[in-house]
Amino acid sequence: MTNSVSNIESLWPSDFISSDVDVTLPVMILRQQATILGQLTHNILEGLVESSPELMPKYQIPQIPEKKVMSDALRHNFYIKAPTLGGYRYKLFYATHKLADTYPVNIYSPVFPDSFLQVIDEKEFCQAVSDIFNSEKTKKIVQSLLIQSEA
Amino acid sequence: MLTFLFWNLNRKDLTVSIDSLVNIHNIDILILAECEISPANLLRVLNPSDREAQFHYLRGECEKIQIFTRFPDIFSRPIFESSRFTMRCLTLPGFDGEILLVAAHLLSLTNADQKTLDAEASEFAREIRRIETERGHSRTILVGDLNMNPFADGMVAASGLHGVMTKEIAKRETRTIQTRGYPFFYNPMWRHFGDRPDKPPGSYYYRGADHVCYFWNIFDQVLIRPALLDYWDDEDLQILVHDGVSSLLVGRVDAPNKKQFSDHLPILFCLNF
Repeated sequence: MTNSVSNIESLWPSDFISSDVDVTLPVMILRQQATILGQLTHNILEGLVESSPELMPKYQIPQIPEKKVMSDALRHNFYIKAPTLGGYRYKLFYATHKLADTYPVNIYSPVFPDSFLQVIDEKEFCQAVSDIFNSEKTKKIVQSLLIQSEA
Repeated sequence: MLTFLFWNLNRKDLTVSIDSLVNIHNIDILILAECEISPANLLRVLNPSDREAQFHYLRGECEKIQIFTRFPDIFSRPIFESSRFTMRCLTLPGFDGEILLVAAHLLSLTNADQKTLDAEASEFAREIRRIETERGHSRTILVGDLNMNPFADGMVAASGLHGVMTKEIAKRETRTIQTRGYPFFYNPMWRHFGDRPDKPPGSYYYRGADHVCYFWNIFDQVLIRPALLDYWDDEDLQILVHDGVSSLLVGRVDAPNKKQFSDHLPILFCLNF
């Protein structure tokens, strides 16, 4: 008998790590947009994307209300950060999707009716993000943060 | 290679010189003291529209020091700060482990006597040792306007910054006094005093009316713990006298041109990894 791990056969499939997957993940699009915000504002403002497991809503787990339980979804928070304002962060919106499925993506922003929009593909996702960035509310926030950063 | 520039700006708007120095020397970490340029204005210059915006402002609680880096702030977390110094943990791609960057602008003789400066240096050194113990390493680099010469008691004393003039001594790591061990810093600034071809005799010039006058001083210093000496090359350390466009010196003794620039000269150094 041996306890060497190297002698144990891999039970994983050989083809699940594929490098030729032609998909731009929502988080990659968001990170790219975060970088572009820095570029546009000389890094006076920076975009920041923080990803984490989406937690189960408390009403779905009434039997253990004190516990944080992970759902099967990922959540990407998009912040606008103002480093020269003491690192002030404004959460502009967040998006969630199932861990195993890139789409649909649920986007939560006050820009949308009912503060929520579901998109089914990359094109719709980019359009929705663009709508948030181009909304009057976002423009106002960016302008305000820029002015105060330069004060 | 990680390239640092430290400069006490003497409250002057030296944006053009800073931009020039950053580009000529490919600076990664820019540390400024007595900086009254708004960080946003400096970011505009360091990150022009026609180039990738690489420089980030590292926010902090230390009002005497401003830091801009070519990497986002997630790679440089503040660990402990006061009004006169900031200690940051650098975790950089390509370097195994973290580096403790300490940047300071210490009390000057204008505001306190030498005994107070020495006592404050001891307190400062104690805080560095405390943070090193907490972080579990001594890969520490200290830079700033320390407002003392390398030979001042506060710089040399074991309970002070304990900076020694040779790497060989620093490599002994600690010195024990009355059963207490005090870690060494290597202070490479010693070799930058006096006449040397094409190099300034110090970083700060002051001609006073007192009997004892050094004329040239080196208040702007970098000190390295022995744990980082493998990444250090003395030849990389320079006291700069030119910003790429203009000389930073003026007059018969070639003192810092404090009218046009700062009364301090910038220092440039690298960590090679």
